[in-house]
Amino acid sequence: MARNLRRVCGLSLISRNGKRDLSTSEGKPINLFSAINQALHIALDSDPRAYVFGEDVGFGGVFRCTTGLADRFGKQRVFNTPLCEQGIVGFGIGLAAMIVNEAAKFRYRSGNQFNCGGLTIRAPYGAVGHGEHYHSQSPEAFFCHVPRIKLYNVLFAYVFGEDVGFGGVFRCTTGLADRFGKQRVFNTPLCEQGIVGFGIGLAAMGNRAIAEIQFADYIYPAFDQIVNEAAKFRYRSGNQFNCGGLTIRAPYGAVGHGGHYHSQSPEAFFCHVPGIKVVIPRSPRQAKGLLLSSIRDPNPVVFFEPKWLYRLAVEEVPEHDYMLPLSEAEVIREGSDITLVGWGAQLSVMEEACVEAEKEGISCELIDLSTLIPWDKETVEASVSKTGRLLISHEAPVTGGFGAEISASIVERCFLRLEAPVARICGLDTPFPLVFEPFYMPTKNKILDAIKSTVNY
Amino acid sequence: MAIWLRRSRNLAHYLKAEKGFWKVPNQTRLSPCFFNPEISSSATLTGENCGNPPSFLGNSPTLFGSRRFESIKAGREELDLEDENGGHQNQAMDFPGGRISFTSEMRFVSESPRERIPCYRVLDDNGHPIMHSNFVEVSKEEALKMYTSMVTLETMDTILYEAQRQGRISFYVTSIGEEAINIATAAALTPHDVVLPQYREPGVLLWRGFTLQEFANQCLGNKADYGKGRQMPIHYGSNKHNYFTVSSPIATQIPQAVGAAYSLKMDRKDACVVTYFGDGGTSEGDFHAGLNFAAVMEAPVVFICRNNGWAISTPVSQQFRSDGVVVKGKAYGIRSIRVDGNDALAVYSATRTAREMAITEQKPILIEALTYRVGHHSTSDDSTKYRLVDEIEHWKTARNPIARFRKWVNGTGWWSDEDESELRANVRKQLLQAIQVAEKAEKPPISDLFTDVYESLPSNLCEQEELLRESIKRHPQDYPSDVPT
Repeated sequence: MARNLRRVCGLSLISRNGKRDLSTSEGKPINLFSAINQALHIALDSDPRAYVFGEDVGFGGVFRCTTGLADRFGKQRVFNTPLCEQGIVGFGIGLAAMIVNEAAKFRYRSGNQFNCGGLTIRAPYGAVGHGEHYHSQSPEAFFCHVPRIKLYNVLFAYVFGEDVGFGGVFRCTTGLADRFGKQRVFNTPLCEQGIVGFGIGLAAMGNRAIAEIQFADYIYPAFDQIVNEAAKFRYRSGNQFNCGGLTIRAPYGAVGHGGHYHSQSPEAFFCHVPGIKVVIPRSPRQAKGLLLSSIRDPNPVVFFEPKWLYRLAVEEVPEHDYMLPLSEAEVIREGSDITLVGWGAQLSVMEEACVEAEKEGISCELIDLSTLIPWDKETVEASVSKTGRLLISHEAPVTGGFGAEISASIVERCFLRLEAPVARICGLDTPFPLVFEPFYMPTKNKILDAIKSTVNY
Repeated sequence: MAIWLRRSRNLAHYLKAEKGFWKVPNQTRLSPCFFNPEISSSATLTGENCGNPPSFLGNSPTLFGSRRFESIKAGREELDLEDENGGHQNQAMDFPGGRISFTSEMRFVSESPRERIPCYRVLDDNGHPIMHSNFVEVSKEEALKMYTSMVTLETMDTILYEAQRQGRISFYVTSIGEEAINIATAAALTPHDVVLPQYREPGVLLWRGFTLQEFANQCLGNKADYGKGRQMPIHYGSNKHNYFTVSSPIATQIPQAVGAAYSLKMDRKDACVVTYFGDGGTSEGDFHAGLNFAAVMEAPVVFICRNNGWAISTPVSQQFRSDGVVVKGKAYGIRSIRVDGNDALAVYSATRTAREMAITEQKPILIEALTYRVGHHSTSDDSTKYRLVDEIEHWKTARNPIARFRKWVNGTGWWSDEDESELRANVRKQLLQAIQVAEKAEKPPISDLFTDVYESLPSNLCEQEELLRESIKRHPQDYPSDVPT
């Protein structure tokens, strides 16, 4: 009895002070799934509007975390769902929104009118010992150019995605269907997981499958196919099968008025997936050569195209067939005081900052990473060995962004050479806002200020 | 009174008046000819000549257009048509996607049919062919190969399951109760048909010639495993058998199957893709994606759903509320059939026929094979926790697909009890031998941890391999000694 009281007291101490005070709670040594089970019991007990649901949770779940809950709280509060993760989370968002009043943005985008803060998604993760292993041309014109060259060279190349038939929403696929026919250039139904899954199958049969996702913001339904299937296709089959012929193109990045769902830079999610390549061109000329390389590369590639540059950037682009190498970073401006690393549209902003810094006597070396995985550490390392300073800039939110990987790797390699901490000038940790876009973005002046403070550290 | 108060004529009459304008989809005109045992051409199969069956072999412009609903301009004026009696019919309008008749009776389409779609079977529970049943005949050789394969599969499952229990392999998944689906579908295909399995279809691989040794090698993850020891047991794959490597995520293979089928279509191959999934898999978004794409792309793919009643602990009543899976095909414009999955002859016939249709008509087909998962979901599951032992026993005995087929091959005089015991003893011996050999074999070398992530080794992996090798040298006790460096 005394022990029970103490357990209860332990809990109430936590809730009253708001601090975690584990010393006053007495407990038995239990394993993880039992601890989770206890937490779930408490959660359901203390809140009559709490629900636990998922695949097979009714009988206790495959790891027994939900044992006893259905018996105690009833099948209307603890229930199995059909086998569908997107359904489970979507359902959960709706349920949470109704109880309190697309989980991460729900509150923000509604201006805090709505939120689904009550949603908690649990998932077992990690190794278990036996478990293993998901010219004057504008950019649009050259994106058209590329698939055209590609389709000529390889009989078995296909271009497909939503609305690609008439040219696509960014006109990248203009003229392809007329020239190569509707059997090779075709619309798909509105379904990203289908587009990528279909592309994997097509590529696995030896074809070049060039899939288009209309906006990178909509790539997530295909995330399972990309991570669990495309990235692992060769490895898991022992090289009996591969889908190297798959290239997934998607417009990404800020466009000035895109808001949450037409401005995202999701590259960091994909950089964490061994088995795929992530390529981001900075300009028309780069895009044509890199896209051709990506299509021909014997690995599945996710190719993010900076939509800001589709119409804006104009550059002399050779008409012929040419390729630019993947996984080779390019020093696009030489300097000696500080190294700047970026990719895509952000490079032009960084270049402006470099020009201004030059006026104040700071010599900046600017590197276009161009392939994010596998990335060219050697070039960046050589540059930082020369300059002793590093600044990374990307539009994606700073926390967990790809800049963190670059920073960590360079600190590992160049620690003693570094004269200042590695600077990251990136997007804010918020959903991409509309009216506040100019505040959110890593601007030229934010970069310039960081260049100066790094150099003056 | 206004024209719109008139009762509509029956649809058939209306369609007749407008014949040739709205092409009626094939699946509404399944003719009894479909059950002709002598299946030789698509015309016989569907009972109609749906346009130009062989035209897909040429560069016919009808390839992609002929069997689709004609896309009609939206919002055209109501047609005021005179019928043969001088009455006016204007209860139809063009919408994108086709002409739709109107009705002034507000009627909701029922969520459940008065009768469920019936289930095709050829053999009764005692293994006797049902009178007047239509099926594709099998030769004695085929029948015996089917039967012995079913027994081999069952024996393999039993022994490898036991091996897991004894700690000799880490994990196993049985197909007990689903041997007819495994073997009979495989028998109905050719080696050129590409198979994308879920994970409960090793019998297809067995039929195609994967040896017991090869199965054991994968389960033990040794050097001879084609997967190079990277995946859990039962994640078989074999390019020489046209059997794509199994992956754990559910239903991901479904849209991939459509892409693969599209490739066969473009290459004008005399082959189709066959992909398998369970009842649970039909809840995944990929199922919806795959079926929809297949119909739109007119891909020659046969979707086979093993509806075995359970997705781990989730019974079908908690999985969907439709009349099973067969009715979902119609929603996507896919011809479908429900078959008794424990009747090998029915499964064989349905699959053979579906394959012919898929190839000659270049369109997808859905087969729902009803069966029961007699075993647990896997060795990590104890299904007595969530279902009755009596129910399992019933399906294991009275509804056993192997026993049922055996009664038939016994009845034909093709198989005897002596054959039975000899077969079982042989297979058992071979398997135990194979497991022993597989256990003793070397594991794949440590370099196989890093290869095949990409087509060639990138620098970060070279670096990581070097670091790992150093760690192995320093702390060999941290690492399993049976993986050669």
